[in-house]
Amino acid sequence: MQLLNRNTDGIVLRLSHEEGAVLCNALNEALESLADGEFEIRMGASKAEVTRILAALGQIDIA
Amino acid sequence: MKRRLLFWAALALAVAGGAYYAHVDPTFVPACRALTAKAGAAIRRLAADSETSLKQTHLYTSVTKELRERAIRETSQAGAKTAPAAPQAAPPASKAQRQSLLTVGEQIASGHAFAQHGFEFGFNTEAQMAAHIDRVIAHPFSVKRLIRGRTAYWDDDTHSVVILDPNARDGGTAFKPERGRFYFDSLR
Repeated sequence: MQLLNRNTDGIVLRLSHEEGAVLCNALNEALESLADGEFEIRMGASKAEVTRILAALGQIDIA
Repeated sequence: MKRRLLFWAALALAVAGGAYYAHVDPTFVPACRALTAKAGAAIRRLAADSETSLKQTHLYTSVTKELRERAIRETSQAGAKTAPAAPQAAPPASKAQRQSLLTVGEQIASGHAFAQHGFEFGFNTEAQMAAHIDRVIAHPFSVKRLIRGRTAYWDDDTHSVVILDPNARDGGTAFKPERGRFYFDSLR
């Protein structure tokens, strides 16, 4: 993983295909394993937000 | 002789009738194809169910166990015969040898999968889970290649996933994800 840019708008990372796949799997497992009541507390984002990020990553042909 | 003649005459009439009807009604052939495909799928499903039921019987378990033990004995005896100079060097049968004689389902079910996920399916024995895993791998609804040489199988009947991992000690896992097909689709 390589940090390409970081500014007030956000961050730009370069991930390998495998790193991208691991990121997807991590979000997928978090959605699967964490209880509803604790999800937002432990993840800092709602299930809907994480689902949206996962869906966006899923659009990319990773691995 | 007459019966044979009657049979062939009836068969010829049926074929001729079918050919004529296919000529008259163009939808006849696709309808027949769809019907045959449905019947084929039903027969395959029936065969898979029968295989699963057979594997869940005590008779099957005891016979396969006996065959496996016999194979292990023969392997170790063959090893002893080929190396008579060092009889103590060849152990009866290594754990790897025993593992290689198990089906994929048996290998996974005898690992962590049964203890951790067996209840999700309502399985009472490792053999039941092993039979389920072998059936899903043999007749999967969807298959997906994952990173690091893993393979995921989706079973639509039980809404469950089987993941084969050649790097894992027990060969993989099987479970029912809460998010069902969405979980499988997000696997990478």
